[in-house]
Amino acid sequence: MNKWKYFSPEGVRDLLPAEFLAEEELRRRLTEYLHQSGLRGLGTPEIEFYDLYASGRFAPQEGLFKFIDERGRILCLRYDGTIPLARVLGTSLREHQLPDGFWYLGSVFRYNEQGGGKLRAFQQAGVELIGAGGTRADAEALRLASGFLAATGLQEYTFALGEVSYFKYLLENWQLAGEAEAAIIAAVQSQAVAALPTLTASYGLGADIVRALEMIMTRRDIGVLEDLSALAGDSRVREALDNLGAVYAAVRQIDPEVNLVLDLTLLQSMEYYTGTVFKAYAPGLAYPLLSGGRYDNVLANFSRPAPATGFSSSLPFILRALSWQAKNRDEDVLDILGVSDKLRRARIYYALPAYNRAVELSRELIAASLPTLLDWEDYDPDTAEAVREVSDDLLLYVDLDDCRVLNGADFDLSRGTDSLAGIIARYAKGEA
Amino acid sequence: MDKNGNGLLTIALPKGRLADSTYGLFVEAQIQCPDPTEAGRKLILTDEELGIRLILAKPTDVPTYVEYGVADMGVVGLDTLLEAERNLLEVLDLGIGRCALCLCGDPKLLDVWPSLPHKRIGSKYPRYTERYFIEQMRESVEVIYLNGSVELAPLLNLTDMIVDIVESGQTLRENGLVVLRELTPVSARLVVNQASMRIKQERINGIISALSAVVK
Repeated sequence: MNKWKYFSPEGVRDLLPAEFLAEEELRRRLTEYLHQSGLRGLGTPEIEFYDLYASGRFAPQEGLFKFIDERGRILCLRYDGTIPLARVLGTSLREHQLPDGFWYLGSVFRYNEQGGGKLRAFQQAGVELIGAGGTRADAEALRLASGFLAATGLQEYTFALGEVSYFKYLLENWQLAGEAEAAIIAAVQSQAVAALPTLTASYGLGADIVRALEMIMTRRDIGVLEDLSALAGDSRVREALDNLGAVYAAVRQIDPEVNLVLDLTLLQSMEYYTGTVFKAYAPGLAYPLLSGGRYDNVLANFSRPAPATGFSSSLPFILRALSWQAKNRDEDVLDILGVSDKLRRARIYYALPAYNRAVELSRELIAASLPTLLDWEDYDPDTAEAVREVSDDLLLYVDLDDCRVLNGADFDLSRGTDSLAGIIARYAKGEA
Repeated sequence: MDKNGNGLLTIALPKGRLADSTYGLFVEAQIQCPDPTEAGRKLILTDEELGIRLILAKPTDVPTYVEYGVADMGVVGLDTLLEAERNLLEVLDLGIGRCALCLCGDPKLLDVWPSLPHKRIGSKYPRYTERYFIEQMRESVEVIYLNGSVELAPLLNLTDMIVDIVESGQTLRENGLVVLRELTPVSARLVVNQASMRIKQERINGIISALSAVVK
């Protein structure tokens, strides 16, 4: 039973000190941003009942890590942040006044995702604006998403903005067979303009349908919204596209520099989303690093009908995009995040009778902003010499009537009331 | 262009005949790019002035390069694409490399194959085969993965039938096999990475429209 003891399962990985530091700093930045945005943080457990996701087909069966509890009920690991949050709003927070905005940050687990930088267990952060319908909420979700990415230090990213409800109405009007609908949705999603003639022939699509599909797949200008509305001649389609245009204009108005592309082919997860949808892409990342949109039907599944919109983003994806940006400038991702994994610390050797003095000294150094470690070994000049060769630690020795710096390192104490030399001198004289 | 090749547009082509005929289409569409027929043994052809880079890859690897984004776009046969099950934008049928994915077997099976119980099928396309039978026939079948000379499988009674690409049907005939059903016509497709499509939209759309003007 020890064949696998050195290994981690596929799709999970350790965070070595530099990666740990990067992820910690990223979490700190995101938490700060989300907090400043006036949103409420909310945590949900890593373990849920399978029914949570199965009830609304919110996650593919194959995607869930499943196990069985002692009463025979199927459990699963948390697959996303939104659905558990919807459960909380329908239960513990059923009296909570809406609309309100929430954020979460935690681990999610996806059985079917791995490879290409995708992991089976990773940290995800997200924002949910609950009870929020209409253009303003749609624009606000997108603005918060843009701010979210900016807060990470990422400089180059592109948003694709689309809609799904207009397409549902079009399909309703076209009254096609199920097979034809599936083929058309697949073609639009993959922007397969060239498949149109074949589709037209196979399913006998009318000229108006083909024109609409062509517009949807090829046009990225704002004028397409008016043209498509006119062609569809359906007030629901017009309303959906007018809203999309308004969101587009609002976001452009806030930030004229934003890389924002109109894209009517974003029809992924059509059963889940009900209105505006968006995704963000960054150089160096082959898939979206942030996804979001309106999901007005989800909360009703938890007995709390309410419109809602939001987005989520995975921390490893953000870190990959940041690494790419750093590489372009011959930097490290830690440089972009403004942190260093060069541990600047003091290490105190002491004679056992002077334990008290050593602890006191460490407290003073920590108060002066120098992380301090008490060494566990007897002071021995050879050991100290060996440590000096491999680390940048400031080495100190203290006993009942002495305190000295062993490696003469020149440490600046950035804060605190005393200089390092001053502290040492006081201990050396046995004053402290 | 920056250090990561961000200014470059990277196109993955399948080594061999398909790369040559794709280049033919590019020339016809007046898209300037390095000539893969003169690559020799080089696997990467870069033209910095044009900002374009060709990767010559094994055909079955093209969807991988494009999905993982190390190539922005690629050319790949629909057979390979159906088997790869990758998340790509399939934007254009290039109309070259035409053939068909077919279910083949002994002529005796011509009318009776659908009622064979516990079908065993040999194929280079195991995922596609399994999916076809589940989706189109509501039936699970046993698929045996083979790397090549798939025709051997029914001849040696390893399997009842095979799923393979058929061009002229010559190999089938010489081995006494026939097409039992054409599952799908196949041709080369232009595929694009979903992120590249949004980030390098103008350039990629330029190539797509130039190519769609010349494909038959």
